[in-house]
Amino acid sequence: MTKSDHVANLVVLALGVFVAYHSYYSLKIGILITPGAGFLPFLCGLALIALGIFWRLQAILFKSPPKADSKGPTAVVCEVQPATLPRSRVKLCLAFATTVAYACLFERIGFFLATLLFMLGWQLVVERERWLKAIIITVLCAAAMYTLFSYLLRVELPSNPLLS
Amino acid sequence: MGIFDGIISGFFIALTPMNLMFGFLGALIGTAVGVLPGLGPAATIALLLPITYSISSPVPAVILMAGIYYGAMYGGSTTSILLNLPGEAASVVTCIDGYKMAQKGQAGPALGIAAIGSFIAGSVAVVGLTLFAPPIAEFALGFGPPEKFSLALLGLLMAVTLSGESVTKGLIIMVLGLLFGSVGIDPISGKSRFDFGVIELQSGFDFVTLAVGVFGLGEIFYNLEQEGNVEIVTTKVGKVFPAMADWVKSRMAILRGTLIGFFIGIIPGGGAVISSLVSYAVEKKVSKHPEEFGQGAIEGVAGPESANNAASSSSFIPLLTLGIPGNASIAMIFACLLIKGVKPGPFLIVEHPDVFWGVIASMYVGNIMLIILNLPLVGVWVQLLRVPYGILAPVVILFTAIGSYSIANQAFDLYALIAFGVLGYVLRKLKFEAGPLPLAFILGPMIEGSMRQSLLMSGGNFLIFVTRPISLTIVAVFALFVVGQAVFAIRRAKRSAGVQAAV
Amino acid sequence: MKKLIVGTIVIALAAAMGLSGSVSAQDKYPSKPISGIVPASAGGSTDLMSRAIEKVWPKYSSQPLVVVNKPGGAGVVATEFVVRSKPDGYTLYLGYGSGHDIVMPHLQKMPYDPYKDLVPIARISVHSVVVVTGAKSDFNSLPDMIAWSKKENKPITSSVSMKAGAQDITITAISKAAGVNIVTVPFAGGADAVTALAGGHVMLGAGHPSEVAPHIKAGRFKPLAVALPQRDPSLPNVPTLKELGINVSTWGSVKGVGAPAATPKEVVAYLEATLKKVTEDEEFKKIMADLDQPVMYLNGADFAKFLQEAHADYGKLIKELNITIQ
Repeated sequence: MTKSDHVANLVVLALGVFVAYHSYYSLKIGILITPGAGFLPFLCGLALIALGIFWRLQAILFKSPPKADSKGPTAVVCEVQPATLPRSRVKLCLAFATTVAYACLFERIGFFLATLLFMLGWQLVVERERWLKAIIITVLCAAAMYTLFSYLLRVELPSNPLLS
Repeated sequence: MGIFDGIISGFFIALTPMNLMFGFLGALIGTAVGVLPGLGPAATIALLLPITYSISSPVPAVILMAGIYYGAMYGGSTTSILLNLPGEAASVVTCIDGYKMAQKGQAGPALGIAAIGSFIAGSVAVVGLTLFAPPIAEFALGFGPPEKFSLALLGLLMAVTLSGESVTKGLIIMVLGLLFGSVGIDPISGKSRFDFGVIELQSGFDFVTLAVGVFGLGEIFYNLEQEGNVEIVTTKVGKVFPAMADWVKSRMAILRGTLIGFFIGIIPGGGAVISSLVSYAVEKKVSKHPEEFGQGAIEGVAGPESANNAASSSSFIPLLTLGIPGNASIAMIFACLLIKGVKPGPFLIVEHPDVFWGVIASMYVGNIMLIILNLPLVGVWVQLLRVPYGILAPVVILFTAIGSYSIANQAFDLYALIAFGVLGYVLRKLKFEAGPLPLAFILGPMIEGSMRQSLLMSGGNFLIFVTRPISLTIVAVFALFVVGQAVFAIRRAKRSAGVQAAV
Repeated sequence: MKKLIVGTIVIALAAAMGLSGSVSAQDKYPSKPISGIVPASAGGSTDLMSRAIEKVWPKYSSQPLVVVNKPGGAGVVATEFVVRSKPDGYTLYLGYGSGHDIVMPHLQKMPYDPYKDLVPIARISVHSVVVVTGAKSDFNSLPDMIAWSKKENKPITSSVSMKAGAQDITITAISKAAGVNIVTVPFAGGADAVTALAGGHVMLGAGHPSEVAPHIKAGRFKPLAVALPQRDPSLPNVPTLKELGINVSTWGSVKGVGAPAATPKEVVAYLEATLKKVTEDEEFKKIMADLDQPVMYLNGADFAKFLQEAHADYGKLIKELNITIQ
């Protein structure tokens, strides 16, 4: 079992235990002929525990020979880690951070400005584009979004609270 | 008025310039809405409803809204195939093989067969609607909680076929989906589950946020991590339409999908999802090469797409004949009719034959408009994939974010979207198939709710699920399926044991 | 140099677009469209009433009223949205007085106070609870059904729109008052509950007149009783529960309009005046009649008193019937 699978398996087991416990004590499972709110979640919790155990057993009993392909998670996790993170991992983290920042700013500074910053941030930080190209792409995309959603489709989007 | 006279008069109504224009407008808007992830037809119809007040006759208004509704069904497959972004529940199944086909450079044929299948299914369904609407509607009424339980359970079982290589992992995903589905207020007991004090969770997660997050955003995060440039292969740009071979493979899938979608679609609340699932499972079962499913089998796109289009047409039946709306979009159309003083129901055909037949005829016309609109667009969409990923990825994220936000106008949905995206990424890395997740999410509450309602109805007697004829039939199909799977699995195990012994 | 110029122009354009779309606070109310938040999905009785208002509103106001559906959380999500929105009169609550306002606070902790955090502007309609059964049912009256149940010692099954809602409480009250066992089966909303009865899956059903009237006209339902002190004018042949010897009368569902409590007085006065004109409009009355929803207008102050009364009545009933969300 790869390291990631191992961790995931534990997460599944832990989740199963938590859900079963919470359902039984907080949600009340009722009796079979009148199931309560916790009935289905309780069964789900038990199922997760059972499946987690089964998964582990499968991995132990049916150890398949290590595959030669280098694209699976096995390769990524078990190889010797290079001294610095590969660029692609960094890219992903930056993209994730930019997206989270967008979510935080969306209601605080308004849809248009947030979209502008998101796109700009993405081009500069994630894609490492040159400034001019980044700005042009940003403005075009933000303008297109605004036109499409606010004017044409009249979707309700937050405007900048600092201005109104 | 006989059916024949009715349909002729309907065409006269549908083909007037004003109604044609409204139909086309509806189809156009609907396609755009379907293509945009997150923005669903129900929301769009709601937005345009006030505009219909100023139109005096109800016919153009309904034609407009109906056009949006199934235009969205046509468009929904576009993002599913190209970007792994399902627009609605019924399009999730299309993502599975459709996106794989796009990755292999076959986006054109996938989109093409989806459009063609949708057209055939939609047209056949409208014919069925015309001829059999009243008796089918009565049949639909007979679907009470026990029947809904059995059917949804059957659907869930079919969802297991989406689990790819590892059934264990597929089941874990399914259970996860069931748990996500139980977050929020439980309608039977009134209790709020798993909300941990967060108010926004009391209404549960939104399906679109979940599906788009796990499938679409997860895919984007995964792609970003790949070394080198990510370019969804489109070397064979010339092959924009399905080849003859594709058509031959798909035609039975389309036929089967149409029938499945038509009948299951009549059932209010979930008809389209279940029909797309059943279609996929059926296609996989009858196929001579089932291992292709999940890797880009064209039948896996043709069948479910036909099923969900047939279902969206047949979901009009309960509305027009009984006055019962089956889903959110139809409910909007229902509201519009009522405001205009037209009461959908058994008297509609008598009191307002122009509305009844006009709408039905416009559905024929609409289907034709949509295929004319969509087929040439296939080439355009395929070109979309050549946009550099550095621009495509953030733009898609923006679209999905706006779509998610617009559901309830709360930033919470944006955070939920991102969280689901992370989940999708993790599942992808761990080689889990995400397919069963959104399906279990939708079917779980149906199964649980219907079961508890049935038990309340019967006073705790479990026999209710087998003493009623419809439910019994479904349970029998279910049992056959399970037995069939078991036999198949045993045979396969014996064979491989035999092979090993021989070695 | 060229890059600098282009860059500056582009940024200026961007700033210009970013500044657009904002409305200055000095404009006279209303200067932009008003959102009417509905705590239910489309097609339901609250939604339809709101759309009737939406349709007639532009006759009496310079800005349109736009219906926004926010179903979920049994209505709490929508109301909370209004409570937390800016009290500037551009976000209204259509459907004030629904089950989750007058019934739910007795059963669970609410994230807001439906009476302190909102200001009542007008009562539009009261939807009573009508008790119906399928046309193919063996019973022609409620007392018949009750007698059968007692004789056979079998429970009566009834569909209701949600757990511990107005309909559920009414049916439970009947059950207690008549001394018979009625099992209420909650569904996901009024339409769902009515459909279940139409399919004959339950013996009894409760619904609002707008939900059941079409089915009664279609000959699919038989109305058995209304839960009101006097007969409902839209259903003159249907006896009240009291006439049948069952001492139950509830307010059903009250539908009004509210706004966040801190909304300025002039805005509230404008809304009150406009809504009064809307309810007196002939087109509005016709649409509501078509929808089987009676127009029962009360102004803000009277509506506030009425809400308190209805709320207290439900409180008493819930205590008597010992209803809880266990």
